[in-house]
Amino acid sequence: MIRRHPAPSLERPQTLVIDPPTRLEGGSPRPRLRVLFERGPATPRKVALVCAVLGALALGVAFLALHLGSEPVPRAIVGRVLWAHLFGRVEELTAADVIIWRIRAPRVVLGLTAGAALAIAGALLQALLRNPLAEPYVLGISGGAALGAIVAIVGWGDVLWARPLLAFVGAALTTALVYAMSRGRTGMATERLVLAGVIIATLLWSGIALVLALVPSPHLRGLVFWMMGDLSGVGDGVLPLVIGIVVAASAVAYMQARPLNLLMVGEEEARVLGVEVERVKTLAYFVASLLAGAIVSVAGAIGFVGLVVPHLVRLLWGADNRLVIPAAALSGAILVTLADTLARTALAPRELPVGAVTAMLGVPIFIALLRRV
Amino acid sequence: MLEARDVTVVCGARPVLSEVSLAVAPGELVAVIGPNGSGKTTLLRVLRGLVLPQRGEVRWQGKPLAHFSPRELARIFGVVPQDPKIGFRMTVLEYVLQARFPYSNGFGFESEADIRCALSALRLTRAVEFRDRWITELSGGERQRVILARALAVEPRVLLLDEPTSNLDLRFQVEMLTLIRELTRCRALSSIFVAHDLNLVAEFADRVLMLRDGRSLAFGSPEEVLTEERLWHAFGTRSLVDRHPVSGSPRITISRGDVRPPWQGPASFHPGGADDAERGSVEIAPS
Repeated sequence: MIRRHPAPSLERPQTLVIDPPTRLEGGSPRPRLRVLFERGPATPRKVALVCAVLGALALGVAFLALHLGSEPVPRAIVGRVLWAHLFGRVEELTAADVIIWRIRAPRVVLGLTAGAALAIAGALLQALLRNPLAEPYVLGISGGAALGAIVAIVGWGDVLWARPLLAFVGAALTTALVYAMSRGRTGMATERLVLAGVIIATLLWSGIALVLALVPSPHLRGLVFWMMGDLSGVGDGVLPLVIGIVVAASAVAYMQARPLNLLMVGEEEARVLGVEVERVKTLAYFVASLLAGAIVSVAGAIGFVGLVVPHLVRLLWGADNRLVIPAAALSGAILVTLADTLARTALAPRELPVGAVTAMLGVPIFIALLRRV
Repeated sequence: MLEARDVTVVCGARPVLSEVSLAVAPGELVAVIGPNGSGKTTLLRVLRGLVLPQRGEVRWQGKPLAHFSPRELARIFGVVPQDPKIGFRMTVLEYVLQARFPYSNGFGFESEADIRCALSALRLTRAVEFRDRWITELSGGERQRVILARALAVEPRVLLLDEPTSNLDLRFQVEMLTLIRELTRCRALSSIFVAHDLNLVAEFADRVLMLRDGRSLAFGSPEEVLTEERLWHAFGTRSLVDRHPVSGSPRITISRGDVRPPWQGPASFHPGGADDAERGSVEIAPS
């Protein structure tokens, strides 16, 4: 049976009715700590709260790191030594002074700095490249920095700033090279980028192994130091320089947080919204290379922190870089300090490479979070 | 008034756009149609200043785009890209709030007014109930409405939309284009959209620009542009153009059978004859 449908009644679309504006949120006061886990744009309050919590944790971990070690120092004495050196006057150095202030404190400070710097570098690279695998170690940037630092030690061993400087040059050159290699005719592909990074990293590590085998220098440390990282060798006065570099670079990174948020969505989208893409990108690459270079030159290539920490922070609080950058810095500081304390104490008096411990601590946390969300 | 004059873009040796001109007055909604690869998206990018033409120029209010700062341009243009990939987990509200960047000093946090603006844009596109969902979790149609909200949150003078309705169901296609048309009228926007659905173009556009191989084949009212001959030239496909019984705008229908150019006789949907005609045009009701 065949039947024609009646013509449907078609009318011109109705004129648009615009709803009355609904009330903005914030009418009833919320419990303070719930802000920590609310979805939505970062607010100054949320950033301050997250940073306060993480900052307190970082201080706690730092204190723990000073307290624990092959020679345990009672907590009361740790407190007294710290107080005396930070705010008071030190008349004579006791054994506790030497252990806490001369030996452990620089190492703890380096751990905090390294963790913060590597986490920020990772967060920057991931946002810039829109790739969750981007990280100084994976992309070969740490390898470039290590090669630069080795060249500096072999060539200009007595110049204090040669090491961070050449490490930075190595990191920056590697970044540029990986970036250039990843640009195909069809623009930058994510897979190409990681592939280019892995290949360059392999090349660089082989180069480092070669140099270490061919140039026996008393100042050079072994392959394990450069590949896995080690916080034990900070006695030579580079630390203040490295801290200065990291603080300045982190401040620059934080200034770029908002344009980076737009870049995460896409370069063209960011350009459409008025972001000066080339300037922000160059600046962020520069800062990431500087951070990685500075840390690698004194602590070797600690992997994994830059990869896992920013992810962890994003899983907990979202991807807004105004929150991710400071929160990742503090979480990275916590992770590395904790890992180094474990590395020093787990099999004392033997020490483990800190990079191996960061990986062992970070992976389970990461897997747990991945499964939860 | 947004004008493009004799815009020519060459990519390698291949001309992507050749001497395309276009003028869009405030309050006017212009559709760009043409086959795949005819330069529609490139034209939008040229209009936004993302691609610099080798010859010709784009002017806004009589001034070339080069005279505006990136931030000024960002406040003039609201852009809906074709198919943006958003990999990071951000909430819908955060995504729409990014549109307020050109009004900020580059860092700091969004103001209460920015949030109000983003929410009202979301309300317009009927997407406000997604405000706290992750942008990565939305369906294609929901995402498209959010992307339109982001373009509107810029409070632009010009809207550039690349297939704004491609992922939407019938109701939202009509609703979004109605919204775009209303906003174009009452905010005096110069709006340009790329579309493949010629019937939507015929219903909603004030004027139509037809492109093929980067050349402008026609620029005029839907009645002038959407003719059987022109559609044949642009798309190489036989189509039947008649009047919509209610709105009176051109109605374009295609069929499987007829591939002859329109000048070889009137369009017949059913080259096989009356039997085929019955089979093709009427529906067999369930008995």
